[in-house]
Amino acid sequence: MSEMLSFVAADEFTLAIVGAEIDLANATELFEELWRGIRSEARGLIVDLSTVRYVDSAGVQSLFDVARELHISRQHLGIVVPQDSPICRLVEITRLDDAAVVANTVDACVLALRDLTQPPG
Amino acid sequence: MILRILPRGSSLPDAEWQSRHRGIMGLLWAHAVALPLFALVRGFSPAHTILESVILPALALLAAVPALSRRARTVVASAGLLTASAILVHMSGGVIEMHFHFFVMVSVVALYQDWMPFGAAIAYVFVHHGAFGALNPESVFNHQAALSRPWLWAGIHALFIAGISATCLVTWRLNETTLGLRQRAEDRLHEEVAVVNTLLEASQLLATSLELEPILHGLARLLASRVADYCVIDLRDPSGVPRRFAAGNTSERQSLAIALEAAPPDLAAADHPVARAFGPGQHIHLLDPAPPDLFGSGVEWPAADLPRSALVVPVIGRHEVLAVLTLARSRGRDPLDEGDMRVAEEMARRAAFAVENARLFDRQRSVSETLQHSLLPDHLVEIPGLEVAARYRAGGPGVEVGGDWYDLLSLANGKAMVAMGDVVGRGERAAALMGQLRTAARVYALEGRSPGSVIGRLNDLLHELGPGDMATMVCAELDPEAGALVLASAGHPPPIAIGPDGRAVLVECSNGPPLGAVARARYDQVTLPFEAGSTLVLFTDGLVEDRSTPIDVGLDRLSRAVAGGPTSLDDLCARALATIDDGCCDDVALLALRMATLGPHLELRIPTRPATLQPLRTTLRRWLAGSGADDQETYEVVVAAVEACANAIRHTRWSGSGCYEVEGSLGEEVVLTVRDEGTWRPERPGDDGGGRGLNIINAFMDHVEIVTDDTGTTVTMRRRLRAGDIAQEVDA
Repeated sequence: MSEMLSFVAADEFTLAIVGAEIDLANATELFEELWRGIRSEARGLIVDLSTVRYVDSAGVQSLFDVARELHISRQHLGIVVPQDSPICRLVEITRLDDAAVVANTVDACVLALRDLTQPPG
Repeated sequence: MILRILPRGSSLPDAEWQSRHRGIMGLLWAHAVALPLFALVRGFSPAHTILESVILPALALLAAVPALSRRARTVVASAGLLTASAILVHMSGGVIEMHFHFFVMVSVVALYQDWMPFGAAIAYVFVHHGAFGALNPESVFNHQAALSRPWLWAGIHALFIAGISATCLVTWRLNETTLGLRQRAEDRLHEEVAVVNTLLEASQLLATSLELEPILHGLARLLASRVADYCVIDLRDPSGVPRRFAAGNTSERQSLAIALEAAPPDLAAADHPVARAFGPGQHIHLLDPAPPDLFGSGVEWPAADLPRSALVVPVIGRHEVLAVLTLARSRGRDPLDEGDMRVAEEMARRAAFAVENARLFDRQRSVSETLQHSLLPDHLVEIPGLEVAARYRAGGPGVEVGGDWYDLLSLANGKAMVAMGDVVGRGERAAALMGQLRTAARVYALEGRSPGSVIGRLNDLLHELGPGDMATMVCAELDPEAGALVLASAGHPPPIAIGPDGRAVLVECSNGPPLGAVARARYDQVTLPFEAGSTLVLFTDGLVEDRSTPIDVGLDRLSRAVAGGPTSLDDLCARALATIDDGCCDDVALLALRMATLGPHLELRIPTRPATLQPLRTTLRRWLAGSGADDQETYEVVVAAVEACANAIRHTRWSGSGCYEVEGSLGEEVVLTVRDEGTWRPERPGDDGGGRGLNIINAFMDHVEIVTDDTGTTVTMRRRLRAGDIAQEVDA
């Protein structure tokens, strides 16, 4: 559903902007949409939660699942959560930052992902 | 032979005899007065006069005694008149011309149309003339031949009297025959008129309804009362179940008929006359005598009222025998005859038309109704925090369904969209178009379009779907958190908004053209405040407009009916529908939507569907807004609550009553209880299901308790809010 998600290219990454509250009702859909949005040539996927008012464990589960899928194809997941977002604490509690790069802005996230995907040396 | 030619006598109807008797009595009294005067003029002494004529009033009085039989009074009056003739002859001194009076009197008494006066007259003349002629010839005759042989001449006079009697007799007989013919013709005419009236009544009856049951019951009643004593109609239902309609023409027979209805015949019994009549190539049968098991053996029949004769008439449709009429007449009445057969056959022909029409109507209506029901939502979506009630009332008698529709849906952003529309026209086409519009409205709304945009797109769609078709519609989007309503209308009557104070106002939105009227029309929308406790009432024009009520009057009437203090939406709908008559001919759709008022105590019963979580969050945020919680706290409490609810949905979605309950109270702390009907146990952290959710609940709430018993699982969560602490510090 276009309402929930929109994709834009952000340099060598795909940026997915989430536009709806994510709960049990649409978490599976979020996962499927994100999974479909993964481009093999991209180095990773950035999920922007900046404008999202609500995400709960169902949404977090979908993000874990996407991270796992990306990991298989050696890609990385970035998640954008602004510093003042109420979602920050949720990311912390669920240890989502173990599975994905979490940053406050899209730019910060791109930089962090580049660092991660840059071949050493 | 002679006896057949002779008249029966005494055949005058009583009223006719009375009238003739009165006239004859008048004549007798006239003689009783005139003859004494005549005697005095002729010079008789008063004593002689009285002596001779006193007999007349005596006979006249006797003939007037009601206790006497008709025949006795006839004879007495006749004797009186003949006596008057005799007195006249005496007083005239036997003048032969006065004997003519006898002949006149014989003609007069012939009016009685009875044998006795004639016999009496002949005997009287013979005896009187003979006896008086012998004793005092001059008082009877005045010519020599008679004077010398009075008995011979008495005989001659009597012979002439017999002659005039015979003439009168012939006249009377012919008269009687003619009258008889006329009477029979009249009787026949009455019968024919009765038949025509019965057929007319049947036609009227068959035209009053298209429903099988009232038609056949009415027909049975009509035939039982007009033709027979009992009428039973056995109908072969398309479903194969025999149905029976019966009637009797008295209350006892009617109760018997009701018993008969419960005992339809066994159509497999091929030798039963009714079963035979259902067979091929059947025609009407007159059964005289009727078989004792005519109506089957299931009903105890009183011996005194057993059917004597019966008619069994197949009701033949275009392809098959539709039903069988059985008419029966009891003992004590003439048996059914050829005439009744003709009536019954004609009735059966008309009944066949009626039954086939009713079946056709039934099929058509069931198609229409099925279509209509499949197109209207059978129940509206339940949205936490919103109350809703809707009514649809089909129009008056008529086959065609209307094109009224309504819908309510919960949008992804916590808002709700409500729509009400009316496709112009009726019948399957209108219903099908309404179904398309409703679905399309849903899709456009779920795409996130605003009411004005939804209506604009529907207008474009209608121009493509059915050029020439038109529909009106109103669409509103409710944002509970913002307390706002966005509304747009396409030629639809304005909705009514009722404030929490009960004040009802028409929502005047800029009304665009009806859908389908103007290509590429744009529809403006208005935004108005809609606070908690407010109610929006949407309806179609059937509720506010009919042939005798202009829409302004109807809207005013409806506004007054729904205004007033808080009331259940069911009551409100009932009050709204009570403003119009039951038998109104247009369809009416009505929908009332209320944003619940949220106090410190929250109580929700929610369907176990994930789609309810979004509006639940909206409701919880509205509720928490009253507690002073900040954004972070609101988010965390809402997440915890929704995690608990999601668990309830996961575990009880396909079992139990299909609902779970959320209770909340706002005090020094927020207490939320989620109760479901499942008996699940907390899962290990990291599980795919609710494990991570429980971690989140524990992290976001100060105290969490999960209790599972036989009836279900209750999660109780508490959290102290910072705003509460600040308030306490200020208090301290």
